[in-house]
Amino acid sequence: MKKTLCCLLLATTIGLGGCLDSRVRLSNNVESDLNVKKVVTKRNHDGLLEIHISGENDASKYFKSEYRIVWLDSDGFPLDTLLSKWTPFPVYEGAEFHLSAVAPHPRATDFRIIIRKKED
Amino acid sequence: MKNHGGKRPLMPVLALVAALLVPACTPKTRNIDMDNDRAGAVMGLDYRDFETAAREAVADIIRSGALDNPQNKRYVLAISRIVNDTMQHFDTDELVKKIRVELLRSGRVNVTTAVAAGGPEDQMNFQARELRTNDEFKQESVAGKGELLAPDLSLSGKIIQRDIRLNKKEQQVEYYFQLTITRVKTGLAIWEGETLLGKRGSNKAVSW
Repeated sequence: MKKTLCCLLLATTIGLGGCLDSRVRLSNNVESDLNVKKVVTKRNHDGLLEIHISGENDASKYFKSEYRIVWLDSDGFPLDTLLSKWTPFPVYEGAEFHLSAVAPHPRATDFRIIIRKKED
Repeated sequence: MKNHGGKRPLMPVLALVAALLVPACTPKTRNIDMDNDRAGAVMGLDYRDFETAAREAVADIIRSGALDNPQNKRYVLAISRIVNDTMQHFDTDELVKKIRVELLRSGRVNVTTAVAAGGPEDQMNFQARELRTNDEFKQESVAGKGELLAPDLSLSGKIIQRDIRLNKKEQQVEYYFQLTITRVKTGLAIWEGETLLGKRGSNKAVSW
């Protein structure tokens, strides 16, 4: 109960118009199509930082996007991890998109994410 | 050189033309930008595929909480058999090493090199213990009996390839990366994952 309450307290929800959260950056090739609506962060039951980003694809066609997350420790140093490699995710035409990620280590206290269109 | 009958020697001219043309036709060797490699896909497995499979496995393992030890200690993980059941020759460590490094960094597990499928990965674990009978070594610095840790968990898996002919010109190749973490004491799988990578291309492209 205490843990759940703690997790809830740590959870933060930020509403965005376009992409106003400074932690989330859209690359030029998706800026006009993707609209980030919500960024939620919380500490999960293992004490790991978890993020969930959702938004909409305003374009009328499906495309593949990819994101890259840099996990930062409390001093702002990036953690060296395989999980910071570009990760693809689908964006369906005129639909919502969601992406979730868990930090690889409890030392991660913050993050930066960049989203771009995937080239084949 | 003699010029018989007024004809010019052909060979040196051809050699010169070839020497000038060959460098122009040969692709230039360059280093791959491993952090942002946007080159086209290949039908076989390359480092990007192993990275994708490892990344997806690690992200899922961490998210699942399977490695969260209630006693707040790191689990000891042994590497069991990872079978390469594809038509390609590669060392399965291309996949396994990435997973090991990441799990070790996560602070959730310690990987043992004293127990592995097919024998210990690092023979030094046992060779160093043979020094117990050697007076030349300070005996307090030699590993004692009962200090090695038995594994709590074991990582095993298989990589499968399936080739499908789509038509006269095209083929489809599917790669399945299947991994399991088993609790050794009970023999029960506590995590299982599968990453599927599919490729479509010319029948002439080789996937072995």
